Amino acid sequence: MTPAIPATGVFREGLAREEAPPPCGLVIFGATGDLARRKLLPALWTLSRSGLLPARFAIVGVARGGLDDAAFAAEMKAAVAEHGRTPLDAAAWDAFATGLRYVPGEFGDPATFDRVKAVLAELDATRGTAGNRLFYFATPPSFAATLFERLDAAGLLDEVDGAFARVIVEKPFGRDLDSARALNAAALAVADERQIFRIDHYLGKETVQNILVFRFANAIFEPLWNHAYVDHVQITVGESIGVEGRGKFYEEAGTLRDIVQNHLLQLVALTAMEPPVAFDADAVRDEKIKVLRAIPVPNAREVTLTTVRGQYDAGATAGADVAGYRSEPGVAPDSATETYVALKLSIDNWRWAGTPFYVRAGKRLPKRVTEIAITFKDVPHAFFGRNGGAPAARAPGGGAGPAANVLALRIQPEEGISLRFGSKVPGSRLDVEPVKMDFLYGRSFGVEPPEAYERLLLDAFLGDSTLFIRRDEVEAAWGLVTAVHRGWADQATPAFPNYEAGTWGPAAADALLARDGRAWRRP
Amino acid sequence: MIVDGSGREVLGGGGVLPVDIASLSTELRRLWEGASEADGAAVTRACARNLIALCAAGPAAEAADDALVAVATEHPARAFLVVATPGPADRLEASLTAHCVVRPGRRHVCCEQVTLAIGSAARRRAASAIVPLLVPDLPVFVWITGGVDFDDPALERLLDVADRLVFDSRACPDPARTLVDLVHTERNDRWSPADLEWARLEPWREAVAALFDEPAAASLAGHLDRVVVEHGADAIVGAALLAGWIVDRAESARAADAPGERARVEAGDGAGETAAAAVVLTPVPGEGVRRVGLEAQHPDGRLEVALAENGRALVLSLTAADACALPARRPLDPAPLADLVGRLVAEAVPDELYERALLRAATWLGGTTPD
Repeated sequence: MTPAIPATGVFREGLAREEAPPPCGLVIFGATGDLARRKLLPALWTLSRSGLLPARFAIVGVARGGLDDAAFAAEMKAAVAEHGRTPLDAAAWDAFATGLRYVPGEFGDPATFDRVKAVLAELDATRGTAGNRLFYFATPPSFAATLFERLDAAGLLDEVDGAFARVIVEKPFGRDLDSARALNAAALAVADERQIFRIDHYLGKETVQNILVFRFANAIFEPLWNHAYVDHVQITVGESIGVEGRGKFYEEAGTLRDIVQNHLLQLVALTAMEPPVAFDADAVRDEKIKVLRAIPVPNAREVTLTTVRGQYDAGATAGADVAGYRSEPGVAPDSATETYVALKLSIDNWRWAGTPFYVRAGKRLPKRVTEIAITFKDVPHAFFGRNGGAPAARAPGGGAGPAANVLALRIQPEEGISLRFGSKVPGSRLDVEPVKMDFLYGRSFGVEPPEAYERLLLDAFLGDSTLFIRRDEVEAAWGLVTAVHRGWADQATPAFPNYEAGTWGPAAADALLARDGRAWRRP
Repeated sequence: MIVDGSGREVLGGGGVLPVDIASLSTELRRLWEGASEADGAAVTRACARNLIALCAAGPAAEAADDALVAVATEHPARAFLVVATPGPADRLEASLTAHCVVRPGRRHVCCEQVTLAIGSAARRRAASAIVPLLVPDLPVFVWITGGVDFDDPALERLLDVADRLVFDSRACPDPARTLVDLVHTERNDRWSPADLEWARLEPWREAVAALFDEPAAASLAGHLDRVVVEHGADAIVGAALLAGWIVDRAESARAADAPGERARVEAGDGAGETAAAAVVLTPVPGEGVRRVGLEAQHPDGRLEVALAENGRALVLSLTAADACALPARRPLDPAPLADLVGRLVAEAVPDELYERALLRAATWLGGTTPD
């Protein structure tokens, strides 16, 4: 049987692709769903056209619909044409499509998995996929435990003769700490942690990975990256859109589960973590989990003091009137679901003690933006004039003054890095004016970065889980979020809606920072 | 907005801006200030390297001009195009242009280009005008579009500050001689050579590597007995470089299998023999590399990569014990000049694999002896 390790032989040294993924059969559960159509197939198509897929490769789509191989291939071709960033080439697609198979069936029905097994065996024989399997759960989270159980019962998670069996699970991994633990237990009862790839597509974004490059490949920033020099950190994940027809889903999720538990806490971890000893799965994730564990789980009183939730009312964004959340389809008219969250987090470790991390995420904010802003402390003694960083220029109660240095890492859109620093205003006086120095990815590199799913799928083929979430990270994040939910359950629901669509959130969020003498940035 | 033939916005008035050589530095600054004022918004430019192209007037200059702009799209640069012109020997004239890649709603990458038209007696002066304009702390790439003449005073002066010399062995009148000169030229660890022919070989190297990805072939890597490369008349250097790379990699595999064993290399007429493999370079009709055949006897196996479909694909085949049927076809898209140059200016550190292949190729083609 073929070894399941990536090919890294001497002939690959120095080539653009130093690791070649081993042969593999990819099984997508939920293959006709939105995720598969909009993201997975287009990503696989681009990888194929870039020569990055395993040499011997096939895709098995599994879904309820009664398609056959040809109909499935036609649907996927249409999806690639509509959503792919790599143009469709008829001849190349025909070659790609010879490796597409479709298995109709219910995810709870053992017969479905018998059919999947038979098709995989056929692909091993005809396309040389060598017994290596990658299962992708592109399904609602409620199916995950069942899929693990059925795969195991069918023997499809067994790794025989050096072949691999891996599973990619889409977020959310549970809906609270207990369900996350239960899902992890179900998964780990039938598979090893190294076989499980929990995907948060944010980690596949180039600019998220660049947080680590920026911090640890440049000697000038890391010495300042601590409580001695940093006044506070703000992380914003803002969306200008509403729930976009997903009202029913959002009623169950809310912003705390949908964004904070995964994307936002991952950004906190990457921003605050210590340097890993290597850029590999365990080393990076070992450091991230230390950060998540250093964030104290708040009690009910602390939840009241350090969290703000909001829900958007009708308003206007991008020049158009928009409805309030409670008027969205699928949303209860008296919904108490939050569409905005702001948190003040502390990280109780040697590096960050006393430096607050303010994080916020919301829908129907003025713009779509994700950024991490590091605000540095004022100079200890200011002797210049206007805006010279003098304590008198600070906001009441503390915090950095308006001329403080700010380093902003923009994740999306207009990906880049900016630094605000003081410069002398021309003239006879020594007045200081804040100026901004910008680095924009798009203006420096003329190539389009790969889509997050392209990078993450390729890593999964190669068996590299560095950019995937480990069990302990999931549970630590849920521990924090569940505590906030419990605290909220003990409080009266705020008078929702409490912010107008097209604004930066409820007034209480401003008050959260104002109490510390600080204010939110306008990203 | 004025747009060039490739759809890029041309700043600075939409054409070349004649500049006094002594004022080049000032005029470069003014060019961007003017662009900002005309646009009503700041023009952001990025720069990650210095690119200097040396070429003759006419089609070579036009091709180099187009390639420089395209290369700078992916590799932001301050570019210099030095065009050797007929006419007065002491001619030295400069002009400036700036280009931006325009995508919907915004400019993405802007680069600036200084073009110098020079006579035969002005080459050293041209270099002296370029050196102070190089952006500090960024690598310097010198690209020669024709033959490499190490006695050229412009090249000599520019190599003093260069990190990499990019050339095209196919464009050299005596490619074997050029390879030998490269091997023997004193570089003092300052600059490293990079051949466009090496970049052209990348799909072939990928294809050979893909063959050895196959488990049935992996065990053959250290046991190759014979390497045959068939090539057109224009690609003798390419064939030798490809064979040199294969032998080098095979020796690495052999060393990994049996540490301490070092291959023996002997010179021959267009072919060499090593402990790892006999190398045969065979001229055939057509252009470029046409076929690579690799043979091993113990264990027994044969691997082949061959050009097919009128040069639009490479076909791979493997005959060995336990070999599976391979996905046999790899598309082979023609690489434009700018792509080839772009690959060689992507980084400035020496390409050790190329240099090892170069040493072998120079040995086989020029009779030189490796260190």
